[in-house]
Amino acid sequence: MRITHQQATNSVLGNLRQQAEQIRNAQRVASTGKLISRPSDDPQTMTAILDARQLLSSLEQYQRNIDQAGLHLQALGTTLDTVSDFIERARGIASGTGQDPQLQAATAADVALIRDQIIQLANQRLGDNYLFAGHQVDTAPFLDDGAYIGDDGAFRVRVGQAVEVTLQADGATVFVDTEDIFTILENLQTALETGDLGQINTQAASLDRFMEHLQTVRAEIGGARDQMEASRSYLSRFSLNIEKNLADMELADPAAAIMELQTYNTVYEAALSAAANLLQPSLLTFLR
Amino acid sequence: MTNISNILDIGRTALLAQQKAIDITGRNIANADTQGYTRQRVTFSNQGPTSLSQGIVGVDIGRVYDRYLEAQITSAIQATGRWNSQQSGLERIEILFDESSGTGLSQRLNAFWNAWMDLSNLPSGPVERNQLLARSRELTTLFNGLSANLSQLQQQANTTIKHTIDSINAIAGQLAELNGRIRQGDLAGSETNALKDARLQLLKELAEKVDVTAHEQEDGTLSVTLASGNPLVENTRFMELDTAPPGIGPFQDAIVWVDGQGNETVITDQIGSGELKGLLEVRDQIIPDIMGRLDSLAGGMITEVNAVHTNGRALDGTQNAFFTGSTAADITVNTAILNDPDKIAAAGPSESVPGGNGAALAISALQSAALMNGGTTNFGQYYTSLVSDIGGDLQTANLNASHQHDVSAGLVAYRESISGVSLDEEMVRLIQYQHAFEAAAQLINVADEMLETVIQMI
Repeated sequence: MRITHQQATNSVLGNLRQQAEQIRNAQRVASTGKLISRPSDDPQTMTAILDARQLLSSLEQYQRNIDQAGLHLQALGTTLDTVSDFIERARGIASGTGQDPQLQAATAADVALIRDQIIQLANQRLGDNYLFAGHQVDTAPFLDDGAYIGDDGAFRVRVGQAVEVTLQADGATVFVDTEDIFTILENLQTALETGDLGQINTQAASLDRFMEHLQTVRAEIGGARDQMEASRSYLSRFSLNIEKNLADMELADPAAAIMELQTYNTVYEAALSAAANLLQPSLLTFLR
Repeated sequence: MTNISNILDIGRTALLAQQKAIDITGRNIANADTQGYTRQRVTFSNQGPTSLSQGIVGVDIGRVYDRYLEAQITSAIQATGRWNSQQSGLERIEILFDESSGTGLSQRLNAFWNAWMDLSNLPSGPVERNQLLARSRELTTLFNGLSANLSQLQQQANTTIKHTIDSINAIAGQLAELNGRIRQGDLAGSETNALKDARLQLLKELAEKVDVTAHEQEDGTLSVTLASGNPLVENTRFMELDTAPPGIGPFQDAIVWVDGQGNETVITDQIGSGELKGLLEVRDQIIPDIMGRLDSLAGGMITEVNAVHTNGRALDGTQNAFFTGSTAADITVNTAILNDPDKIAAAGPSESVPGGNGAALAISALQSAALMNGGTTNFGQYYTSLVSDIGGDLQTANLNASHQHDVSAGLVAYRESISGVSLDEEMVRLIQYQHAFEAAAQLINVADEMLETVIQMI
């Protein structure tokens, strides 16, 4: 094959261009730390990266949902714990001092106080929202006479792609069993005031039934909390895996990237010195 | 029978012949770096067997080239032009769908769905409502921007197509003119090698732009025919290409071939290669496809989000559409909602406000619902596959462009090896001709001395 002047020049130029392009790519990887910066670098992996990012973003949102719901659950738990304490006290009064005709009238005021406290607790707020108002979170759900004006709406929280946790928010369900707690306490107060021992014992039995009901509600809340904790730990493990996966796909190994850059640099220098040698000789040099 | 003056004659023609050869060698050396230059070679011949002119040297200057190879180069150049222009079009599209910096549509979509979930956590919260509006506006703005940018790229492709057609017409004109000069030169017997080189170079420039076939006619002129069979250059005449709006879409001008009488034939679909083909692919296939898919995505989101939202209940009890518009170009958040965030419906149809969050939950659940592609993919995946296809198309164009580049480079190297100038070779020739020239001069010298000897004999 005849090798001509232009051919030699072209092939030197072509090779240098190719080497320079490889260096540019290696430089991009080394300086951005990313293997893929454009979809065309690797369309399949880019798809996987975008899908993973989408998933990760949802997982983070679910965790945020759980954090918010956690606050809500905490408020529900403490409020009902306190309600439970107050009912215990009323129960104690009914079976203790309430049995003593001398003290009945004095304890009636205590029971009235307990009833007021429980109404306040039933109107407990988290932020601006009433906890036990169903969906009517902007109005106090219980009137002073114990009447419920909220609705039966429940608070739903998404903690996974298809997982929703329902939190009890219906004041009627919580504070009204077969009899509502406010009527029981009111009846107890009246019985104490009138010294009607039979009625006192009847109301004590009602308090016991209501306590059982309240235990069930608290157990449900505890169940929701367990479900959330389980979701939280699952989500954090899941997102850790996805993050690791994402890093594997997206991030370059710095050592490898720099080694590669170095290799291409060396090759480029070799190509340059080869070009210098290739372009110099000509018959002219020797014709003298 | 020979005589001394005949020797002088031989010497003279030899001198002239070698001089001509040195002239050609010089021309080759001077054009060692000229693109498309075909090296010329001197062929000597012993002219005429008549007793008187024996030994007189004839000189013929030929171009050293391979006609078949040139045709192969031309077709490789066409493919290179096509993939290069498709590549540069796709590169500009890819930039629009840059997802690396975290500001791409994919992230905006995620942020949008997450904002709905935040709202579901606190359906009455003014902060949550304003955040949702901000995320929604970012999303719709990006949709609008992408759509506008794609239209702009389409318009640019259309403008470039017109420019390309202008240069095709200009080249066709030059080819026709060169045809005339070459035919004239051939008739007059003057040398036309340089003109033929220029014509070949022009043909290659033309081939880069559009696929053509060329035939050299007996009279030395070059006929150029388009892939549609319509002649572009014939003899010393040339026909023009033009654009004509076909009435489909704003930037979809058709390409027409105009015959001598001004009649137009649409040849858009017959263009099979060259830059023009690449540009047509970008303008008529790639961009409309991407725009269509972006519109489906925006349209799907508008329909699905609105379906839930219009049935949901806003804080003030009203029922509104969340998005207005129907495509990526015109998707916006309902102005009524933009003016009053309370009009966002977080509560479901059977729930009461402000605590109900059924609608917000249902809308955020659309994120993972398979609603696109006939119920097989969700919105995010639909977009991801669009990005992946753009990346894939560009990767293909890159591969093809670099492959075609290699093919052309290989062919050009091969052409260079046949038609290119080797300086070493020319130097050897120069020495060869120089020695022959000196020898011819010596011959004249000898003849002169012989004549003198004869004269002195008298």
